[in-house]
Amino acid sequence: MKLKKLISVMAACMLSAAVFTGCGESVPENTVHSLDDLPGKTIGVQLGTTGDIFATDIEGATVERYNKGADAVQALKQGKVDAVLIDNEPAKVFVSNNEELMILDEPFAVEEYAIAIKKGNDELTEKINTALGELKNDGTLDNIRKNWIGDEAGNYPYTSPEGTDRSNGTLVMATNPEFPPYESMSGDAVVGFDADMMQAVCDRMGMELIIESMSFDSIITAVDSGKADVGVAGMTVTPERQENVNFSDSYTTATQVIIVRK
Amino acid sequence: MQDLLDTLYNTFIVDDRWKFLTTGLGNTLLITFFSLLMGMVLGFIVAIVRATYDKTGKLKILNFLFKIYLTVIRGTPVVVQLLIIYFVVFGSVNIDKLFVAVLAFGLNSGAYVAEIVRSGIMSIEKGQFEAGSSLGFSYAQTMIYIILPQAFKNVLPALANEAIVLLKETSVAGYIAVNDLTKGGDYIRSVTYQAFLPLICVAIIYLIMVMIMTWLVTKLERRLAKNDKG
Amino acid sequence: MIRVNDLDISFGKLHILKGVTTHIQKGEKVVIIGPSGSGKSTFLRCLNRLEKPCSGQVIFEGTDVTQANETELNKVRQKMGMVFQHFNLFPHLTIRQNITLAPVKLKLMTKEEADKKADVLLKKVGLADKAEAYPAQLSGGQKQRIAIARTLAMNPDVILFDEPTSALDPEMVGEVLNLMKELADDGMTMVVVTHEMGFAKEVASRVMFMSEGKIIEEGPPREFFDNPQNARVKDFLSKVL
Repeated sequence: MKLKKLISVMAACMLSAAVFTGCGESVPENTVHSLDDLPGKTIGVQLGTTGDIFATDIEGATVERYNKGADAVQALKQGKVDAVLIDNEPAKVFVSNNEELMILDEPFAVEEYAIAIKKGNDELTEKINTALGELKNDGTLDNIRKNWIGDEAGNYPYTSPEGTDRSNGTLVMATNPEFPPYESMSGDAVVGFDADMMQAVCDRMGMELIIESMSFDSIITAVDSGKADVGVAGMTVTPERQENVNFSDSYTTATQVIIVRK
Repeated sequence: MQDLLDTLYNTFIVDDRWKFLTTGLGNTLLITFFSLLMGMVLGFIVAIVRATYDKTGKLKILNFLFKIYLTVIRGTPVVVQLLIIYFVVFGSVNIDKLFVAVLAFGLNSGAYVAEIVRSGIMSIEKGQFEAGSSLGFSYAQTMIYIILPQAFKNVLPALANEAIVLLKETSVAGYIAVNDLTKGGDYIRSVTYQAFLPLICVAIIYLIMVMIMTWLVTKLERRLAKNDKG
Repeated sequence: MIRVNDLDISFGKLHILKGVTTHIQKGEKVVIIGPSGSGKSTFLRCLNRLEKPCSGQVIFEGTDVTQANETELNKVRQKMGMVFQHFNLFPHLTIRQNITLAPVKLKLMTKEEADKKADVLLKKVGLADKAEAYPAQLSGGQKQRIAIARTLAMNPDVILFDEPTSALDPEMVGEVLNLMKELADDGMTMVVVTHEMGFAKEVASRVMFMSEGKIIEEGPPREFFDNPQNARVKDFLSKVL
């Protein structure tokens, strides 16, 4: 029967094609050695991050916008993109987990991370700034940072003071827990610098912290529409964002870096 | 009013942001068209093999393989299949993402088309097969000239529905960084932080496409239905 | 022309045909009657292997139908037409296409030849004006006449009729039987399973009575109807006549 043969041959071709492409070939050599090499290259980013904004401004570069930073890094490993633009701290985590990747020494602009609050809610902005100020002054914020970033990580776990008053209601924080060490999932809980920092802020304000996970590009919309009170997700202050939300004082600084294959 | 104009300007005009929607729409249509084509071809082949096995007991091995294909494809979400093809099957190659998307959605759609067409073939009464055989047609000829045209007509509404579902399902192509319509809207949303306009606009474009498809299918159905009047 | 040797068939536990042997000559009009469930339709369907017998032979023009490969079988079927109880016209094709499909696709005729032949046949069955209609627009009797025309288009050596009038409203039975009579007069070899005793009496060259998977009695219609030998045949005839 002709039909049968034809189908068998087609099936065999498809299977073997899948297998060959699946293993065979190796990833291409790295071609990005400095910032100047980026024009004309394919750059992987996480949709809506500052990396995305920077990459979009690079002349002639193709920007591949993944839903997760980790997907962009995966694509880099497989040779699907030439470089990934991402914040320094998550970059460190990704590189430490992937031997074949490295961070270029040349950092991008230094950025300020801050808490996003609904536009016009100056009262909450004020209260958060006060709390942040206290945490900065008494060293709590530094300890939280040290606990998540740097060589002494894990040595300064934050715990809420005993008998903390929580009579002032709840505070809903929108975040995207795919951005270690600022926020990531541990079991079913969101952990990280941002989570601990907000816990400390809530402890000061006498509020209950509730963390909602969502995609990064939805966070500002969630704050704007009142689905969340604050957005905390390693979020850099940019003029565009400032048009749509209030930002608190900066609670830490970060840099954008370029990850490439070794 | 000024607010709305500002938002409109911000969403679509600044930096030619509307281009993200038109490019996205183009890619969405491209993916839908080619994966539909692939799904139809694949689906018909699978359906014919499966129906042949059901009716005659032939093509046992092929039927078995196709049954596995159907089970796997229909038992897993299309997003997962898409990611598997992108990150696993074509793991270490730099391959065109549109091709990956077409392959993934085509494979996925093929499984659903196969079951639709098979039910169409099985719904044709036995007498039609016998009439074909008794005239001296081989099994394949009976299939091609007598059974499939009737089966196709019977399942056309279901196939059209599958095409519509497919069009909407391609909205997850953004997972592998394909700039489809949904992703275009997402991008605009990520730079303007305005949810309303990009989302509504994307939704309306999908809706219009679905309505056009529905209209086309109704027309086609009416043409085919001419045979049945009486 | 058709030689049947010891045909035997079972469906699971049901033993339908229990060793049927007969010989059908060219030009014969064999009418098979008998109670329902006697195996007459199954017997007919074994002749062109719509049912595959478990044992026995059907030799048609030198080919053993029961053992033929697919190509041989299709050749046999081209020469052995069949008319079904439920017509089985192709609903997606016009009447003309129903008639010309097989001769053209099987490369027995060109499109033009087949169209010409269809015109002749449509005239013969009295439906020349329906060429471009679809089956759904026809009455049952008209459908069956088209089914006969479709079979005739293949220029068969023999036509098998499987209860051709059983699904028809009474007022339409006549037109189909008349057409069959015409065919008989033209000298067509026919094997007919039917309940129409009048047709059997008038047209048959041989009447065959089947019961419980066997041929119980057969003979020319006059002898058969006027002077049946077997008690079961007598009993059956007393009920239907």
